[in-house]
Amino acid sequence: MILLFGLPDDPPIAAVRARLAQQRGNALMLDQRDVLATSAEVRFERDVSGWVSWGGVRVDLNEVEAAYLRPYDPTAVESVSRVGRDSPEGRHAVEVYEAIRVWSELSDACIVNRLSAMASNGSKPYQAELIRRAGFAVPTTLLTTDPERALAFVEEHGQVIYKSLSGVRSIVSRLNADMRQRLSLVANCPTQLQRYVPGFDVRVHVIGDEHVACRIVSDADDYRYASRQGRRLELEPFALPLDCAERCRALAAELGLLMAGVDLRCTPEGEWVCFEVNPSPGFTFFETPDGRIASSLVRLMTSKRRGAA
Amino acid sequence: MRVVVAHSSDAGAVALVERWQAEGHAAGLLTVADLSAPGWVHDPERPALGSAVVGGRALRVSELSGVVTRLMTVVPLELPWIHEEDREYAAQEMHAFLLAWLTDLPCLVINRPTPGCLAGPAWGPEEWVRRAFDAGMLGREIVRGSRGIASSADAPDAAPARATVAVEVVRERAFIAGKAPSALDQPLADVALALARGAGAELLHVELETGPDEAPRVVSAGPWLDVFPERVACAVGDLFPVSPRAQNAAQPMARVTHWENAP
Repeated sequence: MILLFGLPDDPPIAAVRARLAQQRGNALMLDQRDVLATSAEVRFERDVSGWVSWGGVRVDLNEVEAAYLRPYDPTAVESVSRVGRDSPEGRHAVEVYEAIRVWSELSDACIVNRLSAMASNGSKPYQAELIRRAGFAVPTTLLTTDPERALAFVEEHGQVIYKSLSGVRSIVSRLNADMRQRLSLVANCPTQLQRYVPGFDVRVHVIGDEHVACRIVSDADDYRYASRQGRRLELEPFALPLDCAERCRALAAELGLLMAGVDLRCTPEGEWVCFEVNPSPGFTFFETPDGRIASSLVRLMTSKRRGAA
Repeated sequence: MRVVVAHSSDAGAVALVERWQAEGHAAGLLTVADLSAPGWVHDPERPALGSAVVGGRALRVSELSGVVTRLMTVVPLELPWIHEEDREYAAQEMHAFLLAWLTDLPCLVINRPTPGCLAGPAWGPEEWVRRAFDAGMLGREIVRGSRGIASSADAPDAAPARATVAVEVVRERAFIAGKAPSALDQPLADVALALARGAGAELLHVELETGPDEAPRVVSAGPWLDVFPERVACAVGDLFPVSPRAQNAAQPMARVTHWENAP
């Protein structure tokens, strides 16, 4: 059995669910919106065992061979946020979430992905060091609260990118004259500046031993927000050089990710620079017309299954 | 300089710093307030050339002899000087910064952070219990569910009286009730030391359950050591490299405002 945990209308969850349905796969959707009608109990000792039940369904977690996790903040679900996280409903939602989370950490099922493996993306510079060790170039970076050093970095490199250090408000933007005037504000909180890297963007989805790459053609600093900014955005299939693909697979494996979205840029000199690895990629944005990414993911979960993670 | 990264209200961290200062070492407490001060410079490719702010004073990273981390995460409540609507964001940014900085530091860092915890392994009781079993030891059964977390000891028909014992691990040394373990307590110390070794944690607070005629069971563990007992505090200090200038280091430090021009 394959367990899907998250929201059914989340596009990646919906895509995987549809693909599993086409294959008549044995899959169950654990909908976070039903959390108040969900119960769970997980027992941890030498082995992990337990059950989760909702809507008249009771699942023995030992029967779960693979799981695809894209959970949201359990207290942000409407039925819970309405009454607050400190309410009995809020506590229940967190307890159910925690039971599933800890089960997924310790179960030997094939988990895409364990939440602990996703944590490296919470610090971009921390993850960048792991990326560098995997053999990719990373942008020249300065982390600072010193306005003078920030200004010196801007003057040294000319075009500079501002990017949050954490996964919050993570919109990448090129430093403009207005932002330059406000560099004194970096004294309030460590700020990340990076030398702008010219070139074209490639998004690589690593799914187990497979990969799907596409080239992104956009004039936005952060193509994810191109349409919001009225900028151009086109995606086209891309044949990734084999050695680069192998590095992507090795990097995902090193990070403990069975599925990952790797953001690359190829410089005019042909060097591959890696910006970050997304541990829970919204892959439907990049999906091929024939659904290769979802297919690969379903293939991974139905073939590797228990003990493969 | 010896640095302790901690909450400003962490009495154990303050006691360590005061103790080391009294011994003649340069020592300082790094709190999240220091992350809202000019002076931090971190180039991930050249971390040794950076600068930090400790206790409001800027200093070169090369001046650090070691760092003890007792801060697990940065929480918004600790940032009252930041606009309320920005506190959650600032807390995440500061956590992300400290994770990278502590990981990259070229000096002694105990415990090295992990993505989920700035002070070492980010494991809950269930994960510690599993690690214990994986290493051939015993752990106390834990049940987690929509009624919260419970352990076998909470069950009404739980078996008889087992005592819970805390063991503080400082690298290869273990302390029970602030003392080196007696021969009788050595099995407890051995379990705690093995657990810490397996987790790669040099500082670890381990809770064990012990009963008559049975091996100790791991209940939980965490990086927040009780450093008040004299011998534990001494052992933590012993982890630092010996500083030949310790006797001079108690002098007030000059504020380094142009550190990049310093030799």
